[in-house]
Amino acid sequence: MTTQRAALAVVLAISALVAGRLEAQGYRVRLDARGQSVSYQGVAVDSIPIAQVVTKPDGSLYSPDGYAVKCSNLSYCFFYRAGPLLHSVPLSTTADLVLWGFGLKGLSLHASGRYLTDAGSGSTWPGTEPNAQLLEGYLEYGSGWLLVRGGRQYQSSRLLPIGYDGAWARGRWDRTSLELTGYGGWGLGQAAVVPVTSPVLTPLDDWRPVKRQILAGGELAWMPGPVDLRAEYRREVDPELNYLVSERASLSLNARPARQFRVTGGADWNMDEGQVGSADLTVTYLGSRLTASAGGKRYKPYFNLWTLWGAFSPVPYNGFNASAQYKATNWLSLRTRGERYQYEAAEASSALVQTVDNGWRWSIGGTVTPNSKWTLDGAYLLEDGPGASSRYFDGSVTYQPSERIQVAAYGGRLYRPLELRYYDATGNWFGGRAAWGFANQMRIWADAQYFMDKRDRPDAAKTDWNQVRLRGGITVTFGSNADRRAPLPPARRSVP
Amino acid sequence: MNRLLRIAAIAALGITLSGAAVAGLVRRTDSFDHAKHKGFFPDCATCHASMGEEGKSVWPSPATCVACHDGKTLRLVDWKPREGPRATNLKFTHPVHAFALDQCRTCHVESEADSARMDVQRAVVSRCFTCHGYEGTHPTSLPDSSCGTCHMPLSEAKLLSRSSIAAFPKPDSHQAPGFVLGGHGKLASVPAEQPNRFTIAASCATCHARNSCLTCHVNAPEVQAIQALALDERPTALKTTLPVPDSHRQANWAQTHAAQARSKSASCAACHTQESCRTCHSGAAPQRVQDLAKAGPGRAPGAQLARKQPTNHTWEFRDRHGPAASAKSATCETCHVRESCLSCHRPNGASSQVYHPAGFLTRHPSAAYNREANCSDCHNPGQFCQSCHKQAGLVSGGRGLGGRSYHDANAGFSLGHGQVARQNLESCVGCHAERDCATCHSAVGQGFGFNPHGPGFNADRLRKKNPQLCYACHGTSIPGAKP
Repeated sequence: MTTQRAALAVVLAISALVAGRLEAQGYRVRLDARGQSVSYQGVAVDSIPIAQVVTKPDGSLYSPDGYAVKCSNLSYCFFYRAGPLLHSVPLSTTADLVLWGFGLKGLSLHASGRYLTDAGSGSTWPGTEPNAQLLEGYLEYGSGWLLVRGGRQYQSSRLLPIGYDGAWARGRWDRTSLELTGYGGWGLGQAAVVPVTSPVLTPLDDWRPVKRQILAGGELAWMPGPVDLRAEYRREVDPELNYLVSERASLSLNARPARQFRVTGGADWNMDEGQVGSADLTVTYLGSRLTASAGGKRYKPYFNLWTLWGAFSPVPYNGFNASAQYKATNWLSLRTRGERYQYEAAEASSALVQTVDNGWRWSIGGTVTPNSKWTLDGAYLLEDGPGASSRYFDGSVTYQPSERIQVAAYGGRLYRPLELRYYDATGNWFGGRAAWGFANQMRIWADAQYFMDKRDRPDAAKTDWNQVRLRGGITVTFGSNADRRAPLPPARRSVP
Repeated sequence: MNRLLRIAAIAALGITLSGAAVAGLVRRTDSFDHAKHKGFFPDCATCHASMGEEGKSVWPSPATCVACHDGKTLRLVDWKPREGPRATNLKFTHPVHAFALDQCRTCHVESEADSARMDVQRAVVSRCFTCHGYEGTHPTSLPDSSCGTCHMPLSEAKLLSRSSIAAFPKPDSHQAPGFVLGGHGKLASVPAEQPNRFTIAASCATCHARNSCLTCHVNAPEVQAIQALALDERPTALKTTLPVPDSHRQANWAQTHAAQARSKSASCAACHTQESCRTCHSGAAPQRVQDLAKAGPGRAPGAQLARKQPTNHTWEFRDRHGPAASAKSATCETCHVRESCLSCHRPNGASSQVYHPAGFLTRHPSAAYNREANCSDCHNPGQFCQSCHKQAGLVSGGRGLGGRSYHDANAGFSLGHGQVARQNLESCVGCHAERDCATCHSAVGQGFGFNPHGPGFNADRLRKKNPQLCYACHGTSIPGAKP
């Protein structure tokens, strides 16, 4: 929170400093307010004295009211009954601001903040704490070959995206097709706007560092024409003990060997463990009617060194995948995607638990556009693998009478069995949504859905309940200059 | 009968209109028949006595005509000489050519050899070229540099109307391939008297004013040569269009134009404003874009663009953009503002179905167990997975073997969970804290010391990187460590 206040103070101070130059100020503001009303139901642990356990003819143990129980000690037996219905109404307002024209060409201020709250029966919705969140807030200066930023930033990278409060600089030399980037600062939590020391990131009271990690990294890119090859290094250190939190490197490739082919891929190297982490390589063909890709993928989970999880030796899976989209006619487009994967040997198999170590996914879909106003879309997905499987179908009909109005009806069905627990879910839903651009750069939308949730079990813990889910929002963009999707500002052909 | 009348009426109308047109043509040529009067005037100066005097009328007095055309002897002529300057852009004056005033035929006959006395007409343009040393046909095939010899800048020809200007003939040079896109600029911009300065070629100013350039050139205020032209609305009557260069029609132009822009930025600046480029470059725009002029009053609209989706944004690009985005994030920022990324990578708890489809909350175990995508690219495992599971009661509360047996599909799960855990450890972390596992796997305290280290575990390397990791389960007695 202290960091957020500091960032806010910086923003306000800069705004005050430049207030005198507002006549030359360029700005763009985007406000987005949205919310939803949704309910969900979990489970609640319960127990009974072992004396109350009912033994069925097959030897299984039940509570008197029909719940399967497990007696893990000599006194009590435990079971999970359906939990209470939890109703959440998460609301958020996000503001994005870009300011430029401070009198120094190339200088601009970027800020993105969000206010989140749960107006439901309790603060149950994830991600609503802290209420005020500074996503980004930095000053940027660009001049010719150099671009620098200072403040809170978000770094997208193969080495997992991360936020930090610090500085970032990039130099680009077109003649040599080289680009060098360096950054450093005090890191935020993985995919979070608060530091790893924040209690909101450890709801289970896991071990956490006392101080924020200090991170530093660099990237060298070589971009000769259709090839983009880059190497990145990132290091995170716990300043309390001066121990490494993370040290990784990666290689990324994005190339166009021929006009209709793209090659994308890369790999990361976990220097903590001295092992290859995740990697992927995909070749894509981009034809006028057919788009197809094929590739391989290795996925290995990564854990920072302040957790114990890495010591449990998570194993990667290796897979190959392929996808295609074929525009059969001007009104019909078909698509499909498949993936098959196999986990590497875990060296921990047991006769007590027989689990699978491979899986696959496959999906197929199609889009029909009989004319510019109507779109029909449908998709079917099957996946089967360790832990869970699913069978999924959804479809939608969209009517767009003009660029500003869109109305759609949709529905779907899902069946999802679990491997490690009797808790097979079936979901059916249908609903409608509408969006209206009621003015230039102003858009309002709403969505209403009826969702039927059924959890099947061979005991009393099975549930069957329905709900209405509502969502809505409004987005407004304004500013002193053209923005995306905005028509170009009027210019005059003659001089006054 | 009626039909005959209609035909006769149409024929009469046609003849009348044709006659009027011919008459007009004749009048435009020369309303006074000099040859018919050759017997009455000894020389040209009889009527055009003031021809060589600056500011004096070149025409005879009407009284000279009325002396004969008095309505009695001959039909009355009510001709009156034009008053004021001519509506022309010729800068020719007779006093300047005083050296030839006694030789009117030099300019006013096609050929002195083949014409009789007083068989004169308006000045024959080709006769100008003979003296001034030009070869060609006016106005099309003369060199562009020749216009200024006889013509004043259009802005000074105040009396020429828009319709007159619209009828200006088009020189051959303007028809040449590439003339509009770049070619005319090289001809138009000529060195000025001051060093390193440029001005406009006189030939351009003959037919054009600055407004002509403002029609297309969005950078007109910054171009010295254009600024050398005067402002004048009339030449916009000469219609121009902004053609699309051939290079822009290439299929991969959107992907390749950056290199062109870097090497030929000046040509971009002629047609594109910053706003034009920001149709696509809505994020941090390249420096070349920032160098362009901003749209606004005094500038042409220039090239107006429509955003098109890149070819690599296929139907599944949303799910698979990670590697490409990691490799070329700057390219993404061309069209996407960073907020676009943050809407998913910093998930908004109030959003739904932005990235994941309807029903995903129910389906997510199958996608998350085997990481269809990397969940932690966008979701913090603690903030999202653990907190939500905790609210839903999906959290470990028991320690030791047996526990509360959430995983009831396998009776011996607590003892045989090793393979599942190593395959899907990130899923385990969604509900379990480290202490749940350390209860059995720790080598100190109440732990049972079950070794959790599996394939690829490099104890020495990890101990060197961060021994704190080891202390948690081994205390100070880390195997292999020097005391």
